[in-house]
Amino acid sequence: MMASAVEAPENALEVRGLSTVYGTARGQIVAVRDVSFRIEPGEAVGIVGESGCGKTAIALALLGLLPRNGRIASGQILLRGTELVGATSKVLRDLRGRRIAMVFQDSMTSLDPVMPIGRQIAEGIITHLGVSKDDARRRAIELLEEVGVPDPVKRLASYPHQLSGGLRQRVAIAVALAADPDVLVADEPTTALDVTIQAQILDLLERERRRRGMALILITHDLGVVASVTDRVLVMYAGRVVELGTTAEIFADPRHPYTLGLLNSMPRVESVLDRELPTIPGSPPSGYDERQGCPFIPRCSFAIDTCRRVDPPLEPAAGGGEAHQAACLVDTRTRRSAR
Amino acid sequence: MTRYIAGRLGWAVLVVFAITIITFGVAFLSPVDPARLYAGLRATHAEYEIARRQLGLDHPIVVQYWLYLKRLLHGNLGTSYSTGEPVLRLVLSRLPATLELAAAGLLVEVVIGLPLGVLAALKWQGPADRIVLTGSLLGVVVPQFVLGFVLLYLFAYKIPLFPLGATDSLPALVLPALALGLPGAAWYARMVRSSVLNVLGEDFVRNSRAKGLSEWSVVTRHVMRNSVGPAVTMIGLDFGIFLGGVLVVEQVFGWPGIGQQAWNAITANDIPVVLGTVIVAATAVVIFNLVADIVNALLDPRIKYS
Repeated sequence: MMASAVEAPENALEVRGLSTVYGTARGQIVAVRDVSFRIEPGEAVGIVGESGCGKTAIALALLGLLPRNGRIASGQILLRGTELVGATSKVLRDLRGRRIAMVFQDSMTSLDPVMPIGRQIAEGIITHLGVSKDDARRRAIELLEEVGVPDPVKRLASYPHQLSGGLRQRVAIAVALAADPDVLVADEPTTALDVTIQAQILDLLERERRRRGMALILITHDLGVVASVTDRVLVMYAGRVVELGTTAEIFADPRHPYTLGLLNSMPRVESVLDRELPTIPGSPPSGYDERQGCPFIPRCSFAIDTCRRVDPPLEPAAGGGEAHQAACLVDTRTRRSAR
Repeated sequence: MTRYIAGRLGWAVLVVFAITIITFGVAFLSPVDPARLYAGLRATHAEYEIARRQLGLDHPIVVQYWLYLKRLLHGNLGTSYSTGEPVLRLVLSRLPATLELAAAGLLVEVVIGLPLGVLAALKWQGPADRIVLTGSLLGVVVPQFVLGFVLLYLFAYKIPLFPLGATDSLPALVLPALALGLPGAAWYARMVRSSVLNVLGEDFVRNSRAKGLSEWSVVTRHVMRNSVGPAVTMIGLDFGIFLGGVLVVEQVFGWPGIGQQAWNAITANDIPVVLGTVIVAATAVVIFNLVADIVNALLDPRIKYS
């Protein structure tokens, strides 16, 4: 048997043991704690969790755009093998937009209000592809057409406030796609939009991913959003990955109590209308208090004594798929201790 | 855009109208009796009455105001009590000197204040930021006449870099322009610093970094354009105010501008000249405020829609 006969596919992105911290007036917050995952080219991965769980901190760390008070405390970020942690700002600038790009939550604030959208798209093209202004303009028209903005030639001169929310988000996606990135990070790309528009934007992201063979990281608080689009899901809680698996596994066979709670609190078509939607009681820890044991304990109905002492590591889910992992000491299927 | 400008213009006209009411009110309430002055101190009662009628002072106040407004519209700002010359001609004769000083002062404000403000914001909480903050505080609190005398003492008397007492050469313009512009530059630096800091926190700045733009491009293409609004408004106001004459600086440097003339008129109780200067100054402020509004609307396409 030749072990090297099948070469492992090169990862589009690999994150190893990433931790980020924010300095605040009240002390240091660990926003992301020892997070590892990898994404193959063309794969779509969802990162799901409540606000404050560290999703956005991961996204910003990937682009080297953590705010002034934030920094990467440890870990590696490998973009097609290139180490981003500790890379010079020149290296990072060259990678941003061209190899890894980002779509932000609110297109009203993420587009420059006083610059026509055509120029905002062309900027990235000119910076990375070194083409002439005319070529960049032509490329911007193509991109607008591709992302479904009607009448693109006329739209080039429009300002963000002249467009609807849905159109603006399409423009923001065109901006991100301008230099044909390998990895697209979309941070809550549909949260600010109407439900009908949400589906259109998700379709667009999905279509572009397939067309370009681009890896997609979809960050959201809404499991329903990842259900239709992603291959795999990372569930985050208090800066940690608490469950990780294929989207099908996460939905059909959730293991972590937090994932269970998220799924139960999703409205379903067949659910009885007059019954109240279940919620997860309590709120996530603030990040300041360093308690021993599992961070989910205060909100967990499965907790056993050991949970108070041990912060459970991410381990293969008993009897689950090969890549299905959860960070829980309890086998939530049987309510018995898993190990 | 046309509608926006028309709207602003309408307001400007209203403000100037309100100013004429105030200046008329002041003239009406002033203890100086124009008819007495016009007829002469030794005039008989009959002569005095004729003067009153000639000046229209026998009409009801509303009619008097109407006549006053009509005269203003014809460019007649009244006649100086002391020299008998038309006020408009007096003011216009001083305008070139004031214009020169105003432009130079504004240049100092903009050329020193704006870059320092941007620098401080970009080096937020760094040494450069602290120096700009402390220095600008000094610039804001030191009274203009003190600054003027200090500049004269240091750079015209102790170290004679610039002429003392001259007003007719380019070097002579430097110290008055600094005295006029430095306090403003300090304000501008602080204001621009805070507006740039605000804009730096905006999502679109992060987004333009995410595109891979260099920090220079981010600042020049996205940050600056989005943070100049308040500065443009200030520049407009300041230029208007400077054109109305800057009493203190003109007085300290013996600068033969509108402000010096107004000061002389105040001490001589020459009310027509004082009020004429007020009207010219106020109109200048209104006009340049309007210009600033239009410039801002051109810079920020959102303005004309709100």
